[in-house]
Amino acid sequence: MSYFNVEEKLEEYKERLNDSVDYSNRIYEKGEQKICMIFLKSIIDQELLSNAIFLPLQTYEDDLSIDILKNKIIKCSEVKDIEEDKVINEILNGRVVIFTNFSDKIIAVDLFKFPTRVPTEPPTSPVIQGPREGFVEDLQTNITLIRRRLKTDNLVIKSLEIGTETKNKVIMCFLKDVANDKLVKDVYKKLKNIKINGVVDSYYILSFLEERPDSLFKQIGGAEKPDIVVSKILEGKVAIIVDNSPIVLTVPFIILEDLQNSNDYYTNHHYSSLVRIMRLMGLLIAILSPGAYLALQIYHYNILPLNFLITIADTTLGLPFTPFLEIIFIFLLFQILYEVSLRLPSYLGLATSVVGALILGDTGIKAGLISPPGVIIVALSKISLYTIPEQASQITVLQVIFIILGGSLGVMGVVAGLIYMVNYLNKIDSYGTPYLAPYSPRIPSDLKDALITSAPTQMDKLPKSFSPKKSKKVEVKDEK
Amino acid sequence: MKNKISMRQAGIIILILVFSNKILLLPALMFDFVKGDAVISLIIMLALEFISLPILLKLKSKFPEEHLFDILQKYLSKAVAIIIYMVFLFYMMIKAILTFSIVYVYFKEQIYQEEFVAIALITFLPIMNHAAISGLKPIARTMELFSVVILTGFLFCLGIAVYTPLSIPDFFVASAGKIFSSVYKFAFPFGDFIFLFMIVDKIDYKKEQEKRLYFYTILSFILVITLFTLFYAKYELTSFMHNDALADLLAYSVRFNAIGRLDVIAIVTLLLSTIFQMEIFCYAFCDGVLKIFPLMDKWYAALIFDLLFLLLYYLVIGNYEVIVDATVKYFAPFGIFANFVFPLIVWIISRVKGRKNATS
Amino acid sequence: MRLLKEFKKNPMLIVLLVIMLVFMPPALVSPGQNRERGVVIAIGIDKDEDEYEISFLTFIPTPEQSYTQKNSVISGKGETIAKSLYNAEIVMGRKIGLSHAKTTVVNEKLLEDDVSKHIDYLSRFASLSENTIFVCTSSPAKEILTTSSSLQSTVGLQLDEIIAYNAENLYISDTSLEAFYKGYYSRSSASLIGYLSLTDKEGDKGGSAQSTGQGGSTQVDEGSDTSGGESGGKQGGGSGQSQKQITNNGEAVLLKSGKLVEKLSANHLNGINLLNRKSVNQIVTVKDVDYNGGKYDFSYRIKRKRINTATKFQNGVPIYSSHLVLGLELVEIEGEHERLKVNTEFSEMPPQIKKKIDEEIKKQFTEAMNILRKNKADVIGIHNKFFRDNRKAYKKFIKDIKSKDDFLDYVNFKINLELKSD
Repeated sequence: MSYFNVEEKLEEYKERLNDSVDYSNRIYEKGEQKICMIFLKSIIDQELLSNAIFLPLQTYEDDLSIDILKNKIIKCSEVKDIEEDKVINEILNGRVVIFTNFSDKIIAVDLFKFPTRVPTEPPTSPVIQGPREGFVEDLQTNITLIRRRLKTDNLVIKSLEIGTETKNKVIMCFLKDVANDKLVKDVYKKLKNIKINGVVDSYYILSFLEERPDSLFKQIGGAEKPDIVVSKILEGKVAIIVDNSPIVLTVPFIILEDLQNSNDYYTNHHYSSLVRIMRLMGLLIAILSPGAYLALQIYHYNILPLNFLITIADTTLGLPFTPFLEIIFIFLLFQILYEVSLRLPSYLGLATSVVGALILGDTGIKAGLISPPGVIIVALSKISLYTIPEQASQITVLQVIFIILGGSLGVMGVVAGLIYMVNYLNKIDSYGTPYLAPYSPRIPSDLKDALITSAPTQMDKLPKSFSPKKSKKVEVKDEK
Repeated sequence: MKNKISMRQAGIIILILVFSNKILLLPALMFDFVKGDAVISLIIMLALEFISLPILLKLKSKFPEEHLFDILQKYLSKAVAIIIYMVFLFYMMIKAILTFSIVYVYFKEQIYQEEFVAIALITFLPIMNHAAISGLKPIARTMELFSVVILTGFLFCLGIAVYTPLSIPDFFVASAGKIFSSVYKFAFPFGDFIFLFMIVDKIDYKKEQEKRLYFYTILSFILVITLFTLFYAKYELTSFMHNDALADLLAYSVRFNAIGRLDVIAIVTLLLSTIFQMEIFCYAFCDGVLKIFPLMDKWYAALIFDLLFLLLYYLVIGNYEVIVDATVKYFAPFGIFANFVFPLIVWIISRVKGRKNATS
Repeated sequence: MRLLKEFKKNPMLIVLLVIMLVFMPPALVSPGQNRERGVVIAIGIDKDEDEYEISFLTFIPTPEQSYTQKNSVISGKGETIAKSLYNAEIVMGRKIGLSHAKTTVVNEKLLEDDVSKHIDYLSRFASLSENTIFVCTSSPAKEILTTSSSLQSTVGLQLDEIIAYNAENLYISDTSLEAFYKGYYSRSSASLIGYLSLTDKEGDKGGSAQSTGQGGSTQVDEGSDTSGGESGGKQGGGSGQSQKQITNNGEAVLLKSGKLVEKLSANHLNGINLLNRKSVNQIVTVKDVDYNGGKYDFSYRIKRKRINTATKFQNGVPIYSSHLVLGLELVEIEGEHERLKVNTEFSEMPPQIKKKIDEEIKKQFTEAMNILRKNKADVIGIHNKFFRDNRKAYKKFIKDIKSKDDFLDYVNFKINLELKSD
């Protein structure tokens, strides 16, 4: 009595997988007994397939049974029984599915393999000193990178599947004795409720995790380096790793995180305080300077010092543009140059910078199209933006808004816009954590790792902002 | 703690409120009336105002979770509570208009040099409404963040004044009667603790943090008194000519010309503190309206505020003398009520409650 | 209703939209205030009979990359200052912005009666800072501005640099509008403002006239150059004809209730300044001192100054006594014998020099006080000092005399010097 008609199955699945080119099957016959294997050769390790399944199968002399097959013949770490309705899924996940005509069980053998990168330093967050490993697209590697750094039984790694078509594996990582229960529950619930057909990258699920998805502001942290993610997990945050994405998300997110940089922890803390203050100034300059300059020029000539006023008046005389249009024009110019230099291959990058800096900037001024102060102000704000590259896109939008406000309403517009922005940010609570913590509201114990940092020896407490389960990093036990 | 503010935040609210109406026009007005003794009447008024603070804390300890309106309703009947609240609403509205008019004139003359009512309103009103609707917590947090900027700017203005020739003003020039009548006359801009009474249920009270509230109150008093003193010391007899005390303190002397214009610091400080004050007034107004008409949507409360504000403002458009005059002449009793009478009522209520507890 | 819902969902977007629709279009085409306003650097006011002439030194933008300032003078006439300013605006074709004005020059004629009436408009005009330098001149104010504009550089700045120096070392206070008003509203309504004059270049002996030196500074004949005021080149500064030059002799004028009452020379100012704590660097010269058998002139510079002033009423007479400790440094010796060594021999001041200096300084002081007394002008705060220290007696005294202005006449000044060699 045969349990499966093997040939029929082959045909059936060939059809269901649309007769794809990478569809493969093999039938192994040993007398009456037939074993058929279905797999996609593009995503399995073919060498392992022949070594771990074919070779032992050929050398095995006795009668086969499903248990023997599972336990003695197949030399693979993961062999499991599956239901028939999961077969397609398993094949798509890089498993070899085995039907036999002597058992009603179906076996899946994990031989998943696809080309992966080795963990290299990510281009977006290079360090001068410190670890250079970065996450890769392979989930397994990424988990390895984290596990290697967190050798504790408190580390919880939970898995989910998201995406009706892509069926991505999504992993939640946290420390169960630190991370707040409510946070973990909330994140899990949010992940569970995601309804999406495909997750190509972790950014696809990002807005599903945000409390205010239509907001301009970034509410989820992202990191490309395991050392950063691990330090965040240690603080009590939850890391979300998505298969096929080198970017690991962390929640909750506060704006201070973008002012911090992993480099800060690998250098002297006095220096890192200085750098963080510079970053904040950079942020403010980036957001406000074009708007404020415009406000001063259009409405408040009387606040400008005389010498600066003279410079502006001298240089803007005879320009075809009004101040507002001039700033918009320069802004556009910079934005276009930026987009171009991003897209162009690196050997052409030099050409764009020559065209951008020399031809457009210098000649623009000489031709009397734009004024030097205008160029300086916009360039300054555009450069300052990259003190916090993580927020570049948000800042660019804000720049436009503040240009409109400053140009239309003057300094009142700028200040009112700023207050509105902060007020709005204060309304956002990212999973119960105030967005502008620890400054507003002030959380004194967290200020040690804020703009002005203390020595690492003094940072013995976990940040309260994320309401961790315990307050101290290390619970000192009484030695008796 | 949902929608509650910490003691520190309450302190910062007081800090910013105490600045309201007092740092621009008031020093000049008071100087015109009682010369250098304005500092003394200021100290008297602040001292009287200070009494509200222990009363507030006492009320809070007696009624930890109850809204002021409910307390008043419980002890004085609903009608009285509504009347008192109506007075508060009026008071808040007038204060908002007063603050706005004074700052408006300053901005019109110093910063924009042209009429810009529309611009001013569109920057103030939406921000105020947004703040009032989003609730006390974001306001308090935002203020907490910006209080650093405001304080720095304020201290900077005071600091610059020290570098110009100063001579201590003469005190006790005016008679005692005149000093006290000035206390009565200029009572309106005071009475800022009333706001804390109105939000008494939203303060996250902790006994050990009481000193924070005291700290910020005293800090703000010291700053205002310093401002008055430095202002009079800098301008002496011409103080009455200078309607923008904080900004004029910053005015460089001939010697400082090389630095250029520093006004921008005063402008930002003033703008920030004004917007926050207006936010608070608007919030208090909406909160009051919502208490009197509990079924109303808070959007409509904000809308009522806007309409009333615009209506009243256009009656005295740009002409701050009218409103200033009115506050001195007609509205002083409101200041007295907010400053002395109301705290007294509250004090009696908390005493009654204390006694009831003792007997039962 | 739908709009309201949308508004509730994202109210600030609507606000932004309104801003973009209502405020942005005019802002887009606005050339900016700096092009809509005439930026005034200095103001000059003249009065001719019933007509005022107000002149502005304005800055004209030039499309160069050198960022130097090019100025020109624009003026308007009218029966009132407001009207002449309006006329000047018409001439300029722009609204006048006074917020960068650093200097206000008024002609002496305006000081013939209460100057505060004339400048009322300007000080009310909110954007004119009260810290604007306020000086008086003998020549037409317009000409001063013209001259300064022709000097090619930022004379507006230079002018206030000179005056700032004076304010530190010479005048009792800044010579600003503020200082004027402070004096104007003080008990004796007296204020002190700086004084500039125009001289022909040829006849001028030294640009160093602004020093605080005694006696040596050039005296200027006021009457001589006022006549050619109007005709002298307007923009070119009259380069072809006699070149004019602004001279600052360190003089000042004393105003009583806004009226000019006395012109003070640098020498007088020195006397007044003896009681001014900040003012140092003055030079005291004593002549013909017998020393070691020869006659010498010694010049000393005041390096340090400590002042102790006390006021009291003695037998109903107000006494204003000051104790001055002066640290003097020998800076020059002039005489027949050149061998005197500055450094060693004079570490102790010889008594005869001490005596002479004492006399000299006291003479200066008495002269200065006499001027103040004559004009009933209290620019050094004598009233205040009495008021503060002896309030009751002062009040009583004021009550008893006819006018409080006369108070100065009764005051007995005493000065006590302690000279130290530094």
